[in-house]
Amino acid sequence: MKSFERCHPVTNFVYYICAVIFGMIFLHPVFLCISFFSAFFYSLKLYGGKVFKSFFCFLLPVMTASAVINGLTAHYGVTPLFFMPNGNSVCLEPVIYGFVSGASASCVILIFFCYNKTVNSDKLYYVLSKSLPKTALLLTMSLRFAPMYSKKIREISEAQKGLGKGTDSGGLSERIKNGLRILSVLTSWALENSVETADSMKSRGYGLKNRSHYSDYRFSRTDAVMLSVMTVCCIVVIIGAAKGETYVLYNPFFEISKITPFSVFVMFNYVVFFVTPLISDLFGEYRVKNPKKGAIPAQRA
Amino acid sequence: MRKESENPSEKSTEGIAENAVGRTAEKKAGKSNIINIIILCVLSPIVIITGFFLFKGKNYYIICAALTVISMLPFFISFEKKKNASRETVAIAAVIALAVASRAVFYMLPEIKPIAAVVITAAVSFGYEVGFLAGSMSMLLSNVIFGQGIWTPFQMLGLGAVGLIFGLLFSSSKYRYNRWILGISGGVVTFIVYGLIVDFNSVLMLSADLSLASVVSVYIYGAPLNLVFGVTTAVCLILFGKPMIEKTERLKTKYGIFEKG
Repeated sequence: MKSFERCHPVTNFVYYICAVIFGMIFLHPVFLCISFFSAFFYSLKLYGGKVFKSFFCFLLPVMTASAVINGLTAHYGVTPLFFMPNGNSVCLEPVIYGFVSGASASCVILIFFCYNKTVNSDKLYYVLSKSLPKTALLLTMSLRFAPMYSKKIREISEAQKGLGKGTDSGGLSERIKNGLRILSVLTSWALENSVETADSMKSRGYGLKNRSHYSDYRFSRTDAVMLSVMTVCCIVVIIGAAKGETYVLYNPFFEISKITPFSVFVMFNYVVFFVTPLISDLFGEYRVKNPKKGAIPAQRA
Repeated sequence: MRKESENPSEKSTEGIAENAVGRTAEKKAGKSNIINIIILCVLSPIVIITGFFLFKGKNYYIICAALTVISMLPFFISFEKKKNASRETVAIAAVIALAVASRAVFYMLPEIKPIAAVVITAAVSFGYEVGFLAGSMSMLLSNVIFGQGIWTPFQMLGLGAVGLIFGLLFSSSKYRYNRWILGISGGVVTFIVYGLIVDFNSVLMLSADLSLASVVSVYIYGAPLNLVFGVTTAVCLILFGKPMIEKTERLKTKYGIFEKG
């Protein structure tokens, strides 16, 4: 067992794509709670206490704003809360629906929190290079250029400061002008440099046939297990959704599908799908602390 | 110095090679156009119709996100199919990295983001396809650094559309050296096009039932930020657009890249 961060990019992307789609589609309260809280706990595992701060400063306001905007602008519903001065009634149903859709959006944001921590740009490049190789090349080259240019910017601005034309001296217009001069110097250098890079790429055989890609990722047994578990759970959830187990209605009145043994089974599969990375991470940590007898301590996987 | 003397011969051999691949490239380009038309005419109605029947008029968010991605695919596919010289590919990468790094120049003035100005100048001198690629890829890349989200496709489409518009309008126009026309139109287009597309993500996030009142209220709430971005773009283009375009034009003639015809 290895942590989700070290898994094969395909495993990562299957999980995140399915999780984002499920998190957006299923507004059934139970399913939404499952996806929201598992995303919340996984980001808690990855980031620690910082998640509480972003929850109260960003996610809760999104949910509240969504509930308020929807409550004030939509006029359906059967449970009136109060009447506005212009005679329109504010009902409970649009407020709840606004809150639920805000929670769904927050859930997707939390899933992307986890994405940003577990999937680095190498993995994005790996996945892109299979289908869009030239775009992936653009991405990876720019990723290398951006820090290089930032370093060059520092060099140029030091030199400009020596001439008394830094971005920290003078009034606002002076500063903007000096900043733009730095950008201009950088542009000339960057474009000339790119031509040189292209020539050296060409002389090393860029664009010739039968050239393979370097990749550091191995599809291990853990990946196979995780991927098959997630696939089975996804299929069960999709069948359940097709059979109407995720049915919920907020407009104009609240209606929800009945809880049956089958719906509990679907929810169980939904839980398993969402907590797979968390369990993999926790189990990996446990294995590091309590290694199997006879296992080589430094062994990966 | 040595480099300069080598250049003319290199340019001519590259030109011959490009002519040789030109005919096959044309056929390929035709094929990719057909693929693109199929994508736009078949895939997007399929997404809309299945989305409509599956979600019964709810869940606009996922349908819109899918449509945003589909609308960008043709540009990337035609870039993949096109036989670019390696110099052009690297130059596009350099423009993307410049757009991202340009934020680091103004670390003393954090509100100023010249990213749209860099994309516009690249679009004006290198054409609309490069404009779209530079805009969308620089957004994707800056989100690799600042954090991806469901807003990524909307931002990519937003800045890509700005690049596309400027490439189409100005790339062979005589007004491209007029700093006032370029700057003011740059500010207006950034404010309207980028603002409308990117704030549509906030609209989808904040208003569950899309009604005119809720959409307008979210747009009004987001307008000041977009105005700052538009004004920044206009100021950058007025001060900096002309010299930057001159630089890239010089590069084009010096190394023979992005030549039309």
